Amino acid sequence: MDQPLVFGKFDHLVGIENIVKSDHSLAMIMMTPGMLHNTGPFRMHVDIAQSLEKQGISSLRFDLSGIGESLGIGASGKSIDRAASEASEAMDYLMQTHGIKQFILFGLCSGADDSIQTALKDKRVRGVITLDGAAYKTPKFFLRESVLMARKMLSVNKWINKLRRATGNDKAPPSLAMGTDIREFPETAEQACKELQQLVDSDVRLHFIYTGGTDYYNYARQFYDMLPQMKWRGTESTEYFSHMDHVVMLCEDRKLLVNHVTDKTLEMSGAIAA
Amino acid sequence: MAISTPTRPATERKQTRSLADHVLPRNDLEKKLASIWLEFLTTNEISIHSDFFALGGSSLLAVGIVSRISDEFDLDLPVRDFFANPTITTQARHIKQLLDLNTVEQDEKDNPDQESIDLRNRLPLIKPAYFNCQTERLFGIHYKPRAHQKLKSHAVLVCHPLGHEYARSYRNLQQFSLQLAQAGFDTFRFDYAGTGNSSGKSEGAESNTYFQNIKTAAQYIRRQSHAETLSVIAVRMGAPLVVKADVDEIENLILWDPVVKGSSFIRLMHEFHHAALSRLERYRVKRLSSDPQQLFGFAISKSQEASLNRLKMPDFKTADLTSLNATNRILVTSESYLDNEPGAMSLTEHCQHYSTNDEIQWHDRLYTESAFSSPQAFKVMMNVLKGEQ
Repeated sequence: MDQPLVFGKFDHLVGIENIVKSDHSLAMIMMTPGMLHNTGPFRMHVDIAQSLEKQGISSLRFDLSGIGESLGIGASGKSIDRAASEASEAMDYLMQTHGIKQFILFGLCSGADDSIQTALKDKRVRGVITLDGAAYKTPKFFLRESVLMARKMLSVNKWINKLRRATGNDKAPPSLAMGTDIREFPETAEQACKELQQLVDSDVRLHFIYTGGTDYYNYARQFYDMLPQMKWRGTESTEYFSHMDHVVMLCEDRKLLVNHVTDKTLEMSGAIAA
Repeated sequence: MAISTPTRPATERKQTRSLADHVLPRNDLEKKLASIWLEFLTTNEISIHSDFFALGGSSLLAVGIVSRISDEFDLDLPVRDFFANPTITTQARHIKQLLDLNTVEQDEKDNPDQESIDLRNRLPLIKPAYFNCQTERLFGIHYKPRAHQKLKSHAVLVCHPLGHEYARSYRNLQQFSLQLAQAGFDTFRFDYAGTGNSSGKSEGAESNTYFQNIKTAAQYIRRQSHAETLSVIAVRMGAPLVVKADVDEIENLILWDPVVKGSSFIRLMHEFHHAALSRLERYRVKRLSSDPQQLFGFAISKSQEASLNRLKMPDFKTADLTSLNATNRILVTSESYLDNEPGAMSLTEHCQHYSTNDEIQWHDRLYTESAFSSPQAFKVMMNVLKGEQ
């Protein structure tokens, strides 16, 4: 059952825990997805927590400082390091309060980047599931992208949009113009390899999910193509849901994703216990 | 949620004093940061301990400042770094770390933990909780003023919008709740059944469920705060729900860009949903309308849709609803709201109307994922609640 909590060094972090009484061996922590609060887009994290609860797995979802209900109080450090540090505070809380010592992290968007960073820094993380995490473009990506672009050019809406842009009819008011934020991918694929290799060598279970909703990933094998130097040990897996958008808006997509994350968590949980 | 670029609030500059000790910038970095902040805020002077959001800052203004800081210091500064470091002193410390500056100055001898503790102590207490309403557990969060924050024995209940507008307004309402609590108001926000962190299925609630949720939330915050007075801020679909919920003894009933007819709102959601599936912007391939029945991200049952379609603002002259007996009925509207919300003009005859230049654009599909900035609405509502408007 969901319970709210305030935790952290300065009582500034807010989260919701769902603790299953029968098993305190492992829990999932859901990282803050971008600038959205702890429910996730369209309540994705709430659905995942309920699905995990049915399978006997505890979870915690929380807001990083300055996002959602958690307060920005000057917890310093580079953004991604601070996120990792706050995730460790969440683990400290679950360990001290419920005796849970092993964790699987789930993260969408920047939450994916934060999950990997946390796993690199905190040995209690035994598994990571990312959704639209870091990726690097490959020659095949560019080839497929050009085909997709050609197909889009046949769309009437595409031309209407172009016309709107040309005539200035879609000019956003300054206060609502879409902004961009910085994703903190490792600077190069080589650096990403180094970090992932460290996790693989530490026997951290990894599952990488991508959707068709990003502009940097467009085919199922791209993950392996972009990291050719990796020495995998069969403890990783990947899935590409080409039909989904980045925030998984449709209910049927969300159901598929929630079931998929639940299955992967159970699989990881079994492997970690063994 | 996308964060948008900033606009400077079109209000005149004013002198702002924080409850915190007023300390002027102490070194070149703090002075530079303060000067950048001043380009975006409507204040003349900034204490290094003042919270950006308490000075009238918004997410959108933060994006502009982040961009200026990034250019000025030639560094990559994610927006969330700004949210985590919302004072000049914490931001300066953070930037020093990023730039790896090692010069020992007076402020660096300060204890960083103590600065965070001081900042935390200036912010209100946060008390998240679940409370029962019929068969569901509703999640709410009480922003409780600290003893030094001029307690007013006045609680404010904030009623969120529905659907994607809930996510659009989330950060905005959280920030305003913090400001209200710092001004001494016990402030309470909650999630309706089947929304946010509350229990229940999205398609399980009907209008009557939401009415009961609001009544129960009002009772809850009255009980928790022991406040003598209750005001309600209701945003978009929150407005007709609050009016019909029949909450008694409301001091200020503030309707912020209210949905006047539920049927118009539902029609708009259908348009957004259809556009999302058919235009090749969200998806790489066209998606068909799908099973289960859903509306722009959330499952919706036929009976739920019918009940929301029937919901509308009552005739204020003839309706016998205790919510409408509020001491003050306030209508706050954003730019172009009155032009786009069917039936909204009639509300201006029955409420004190404050029109603002805040740009939210609820009716435009281009902004369905945009956070927004509403400095003027914040100012109007704060003044109304303080009895200064």
